[in-house]
Amino acid sequence: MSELTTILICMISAGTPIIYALTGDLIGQRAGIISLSVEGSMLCGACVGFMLASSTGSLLLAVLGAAAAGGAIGSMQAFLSISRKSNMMTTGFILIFFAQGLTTFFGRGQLGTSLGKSFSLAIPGLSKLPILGPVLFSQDILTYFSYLLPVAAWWALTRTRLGLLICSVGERPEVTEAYGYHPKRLQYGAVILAGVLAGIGGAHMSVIYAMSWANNMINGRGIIASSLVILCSWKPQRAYMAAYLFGLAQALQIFFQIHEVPVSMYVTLMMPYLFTLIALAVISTSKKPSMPEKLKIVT
Amino acid sequence: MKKRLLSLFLAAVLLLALAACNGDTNKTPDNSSDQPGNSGSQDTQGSAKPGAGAKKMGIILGGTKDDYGFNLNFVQLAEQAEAELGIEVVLKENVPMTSDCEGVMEELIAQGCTILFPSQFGYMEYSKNVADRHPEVAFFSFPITDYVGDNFSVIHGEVQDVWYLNGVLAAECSTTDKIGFIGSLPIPDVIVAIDAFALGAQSVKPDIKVTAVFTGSWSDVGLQTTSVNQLIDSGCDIIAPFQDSIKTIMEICRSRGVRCFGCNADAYELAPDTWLSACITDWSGYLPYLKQTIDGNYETVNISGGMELNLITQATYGDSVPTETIKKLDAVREQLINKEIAVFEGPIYAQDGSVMFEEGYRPTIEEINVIDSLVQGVDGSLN
Amino acid sequence: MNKERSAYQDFLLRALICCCAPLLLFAVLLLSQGKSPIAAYRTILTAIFGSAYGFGEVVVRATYLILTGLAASVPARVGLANAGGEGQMAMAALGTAVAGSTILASLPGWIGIPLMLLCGMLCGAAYAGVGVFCKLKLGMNEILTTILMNYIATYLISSLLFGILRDPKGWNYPQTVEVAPQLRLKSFFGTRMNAGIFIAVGASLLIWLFINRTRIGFTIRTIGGNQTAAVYAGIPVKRYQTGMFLLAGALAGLAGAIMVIGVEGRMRIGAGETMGFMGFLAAGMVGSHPLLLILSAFLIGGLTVAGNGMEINTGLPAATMQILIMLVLLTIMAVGGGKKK
Repeated sequence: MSELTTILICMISAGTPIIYALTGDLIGQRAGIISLSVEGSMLCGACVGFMLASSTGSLLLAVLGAAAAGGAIGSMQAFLSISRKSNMMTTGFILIFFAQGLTTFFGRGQLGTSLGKSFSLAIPGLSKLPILGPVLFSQDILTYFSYLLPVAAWWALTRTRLGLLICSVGERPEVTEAYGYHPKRLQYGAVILAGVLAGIGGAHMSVIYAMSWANNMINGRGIIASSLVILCSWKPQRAYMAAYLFGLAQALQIFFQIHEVPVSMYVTLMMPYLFTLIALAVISTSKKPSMPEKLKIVT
Repeated sequence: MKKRLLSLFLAAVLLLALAACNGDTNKTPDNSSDQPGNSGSQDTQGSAKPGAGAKKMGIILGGTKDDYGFNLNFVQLAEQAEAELGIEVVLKENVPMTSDCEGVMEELIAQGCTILFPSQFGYMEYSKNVADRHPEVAFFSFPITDYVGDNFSVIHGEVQDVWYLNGVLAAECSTTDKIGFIGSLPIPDVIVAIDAFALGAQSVKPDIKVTAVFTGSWSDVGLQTTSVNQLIDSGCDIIAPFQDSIKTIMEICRSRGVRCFGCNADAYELAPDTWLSACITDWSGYLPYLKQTIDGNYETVNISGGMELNLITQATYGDSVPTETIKKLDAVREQLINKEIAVFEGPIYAQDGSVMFEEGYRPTIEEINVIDSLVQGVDGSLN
Repeated sequence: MNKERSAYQDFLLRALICCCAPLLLFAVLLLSQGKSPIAAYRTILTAIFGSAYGFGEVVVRATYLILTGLAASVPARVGLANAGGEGQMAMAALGTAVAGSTILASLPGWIGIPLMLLCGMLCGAAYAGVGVFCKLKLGMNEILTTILMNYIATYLISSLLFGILRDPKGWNYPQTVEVAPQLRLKSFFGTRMNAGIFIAVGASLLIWLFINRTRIGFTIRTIGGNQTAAVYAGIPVKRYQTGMFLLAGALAGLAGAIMVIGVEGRMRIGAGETMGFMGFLAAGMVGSHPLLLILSAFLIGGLTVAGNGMEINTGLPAATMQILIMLVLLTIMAVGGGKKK
């Protein structure tokens, strides 16, 4: 296998969990609520998803369970930051640590279990294409969904009534209310959806990518996903760019070391964060980001 | 807003009030919790040895117990000590390798532990502080250090011999002659392990390539997965990790049909087919010292040794290791134990071709522990 | 009259829920594991108040949390968010440790210690300066920038500790040379408690006075209240924001410096980890109020220490204690919130 293919495969698989969490949180932020807790949702999704996948052997059940677990954390974030009006960043951090505790405690039984099978599923025909085949179409069902997710989110947010309403809540909730809708319900929906999607992303991480459950396996990826929303300038179609940039940097972390590129190992390990920082600088200087009005007051 | 602040304040006040009430009632449990009894009585007698009659032993860990790696290792020590010495063992997980561990050790002592077992180098400086304050508590340091004295002992298991054996095993099993090593951070233990592993492999196949990568953390699952996949894609058919938690690495290796080593714990049962072996601590060499301590005959020791002292050993071989290879390994092990050969016997050359150890020279363990370069034949960089 | 009493009762009820709900919930978890909640809860008290040492541990943690909490709350007053307390604290600790073993090593304590603290503050402010530069000159979002810079700081420190700053006598482990002994803060009562707590409490008092009692503080409150209005009023908002962000970095840096000269004595990998995030959390819990921050810092510090004691006592994994701590904080967030204007 050529080196390029290897890197691209790693890029896609490392980027997929990010895409889920990123798209989810993006929708939530458009509604005016930042859920840093997507990290916690990912952890719960990874733990529950792995538990179900190893015990039932069904990917569908695993994804449903992961979505429910992620949604549970999401609904806690929603309750606290919408109904109780608590500081959303603080709530997010608390929920992350809470989820770490919960999953470490209840996931102990899963540490020694193995899945017993792989859930990858090559698409017949397409997977035979040179380079693109192994990279894009020899993955798994969750990855194929992730290709569509940002586009779907873009369509939903800009072309459907519900999506436009969600965006309007993030800009002018009083206007939404004046038109007879419930801003709180819309926010709840958006934040829980963020948790659900992040949970599925977590399941991809444990069931498909790492094929095992380990304590605190998300290790900051959720926080990064939540902050990458800023890099996307709150536009879902840019999720591909942000997530795969981060994935590519992760793939290069090890690639540079294996192929003895004369760069310090610490610089290679820093790359995901450096890349993001540089990308942010480029985007910020060239264009004004379209931050939802509600978020401007919060910070 | 105001209400939240007030309630927070009240919560704190209530907690304080509770504590004040509890102050009086707690006098009795305070006395009864003193049952190991050495702290109070011993100062006056001054003759009892540290840790004499210990009922509780505390082990201080840097990670979580169930990681199939370094920390699981100590769970086995706990089990053996509880079964053979009848002592209660308390494991404290997730202790940061900073001065915060001092507080944890004080708390362990307050709860009746009179033997402490700090497991990481980062604890040493602070264990010594605690040891000076509590002469009645016996300390056994796992890593090698220069704080030895009074109630502070070192029992260090030297890893290089067993990693050398692992290297021999890897070279015997490899068909592509490329081996991947996934290190965490370039601390001395990891560097020694990589070097010994590479030297072992080179003793069988002089031209074998060992590729070392570092993940910069002890258990980042994502980076572990990326490393294994990329190492396998670049042609490695044996993977050796030096990580805390190796479950993920083993799972990926199994799914891709590549054989792998473990690290610091026997995880044979996770994947018998693709498992090769691991370097693990042999607690049977430690227990006599603990027993001696409990019996009241503590003596300061400063021991460093390998298989000959039963401090370290090789884990179960995987199902795929052929019998003749095991025979060969046994022979090499004999030679290592009898000191016929030594892992770092010169000439040893560093990556850049400079001489690390002169022809025929056998470095001491102090010299081995401060090796800070990789040997020739290893691809990878320490900075 | 009647209304007042009901508000009072409501408040009592909330406080009661804050105290009891997490403990009750956690008792269920303990019982399900076959452990006695009463014994476990008694350990909470003995771990914190049972000995001077235990209380000292709480104070040591509270010191960092107050300062990193201030680092998060000061920029919040001018409409910025600083999530980079973690990185700023670590960089400052490294800078202090290096200065204390090289250029400042020969100075006597009375001048050396203030210089060490100043050095830490400068390092913290410098690292925060990168963040504020990105924000005000390049228009980059400061939350993302500071979060990313936390990670970058981790690897930067690793590379230095494994590289040129490694203690030659440290068995090759990643740590700096020890700070000269006369530059260390004395610890009290045989605990790890040191004068750092006075510095931290003093800092939060000063910040409170500065924001609420000075002319500059009034301007700052104006900016925090309505940034657009402040711009129209002719206030140089950006200059104030820069100043406050640098001040925040300096405060986080102070935490790092106190850590090094107080308890650590040198810098090593992982020193002060999560203290920045926890400080951010402590600040968020009290709505960035500098004085109440002292309380929330002590609460979080106390819970961590109690968690250690309880883990040792019950033999349950560390994760259970994390669950308890977060249950307490979640309940406070849930009960304390409600209708905010």
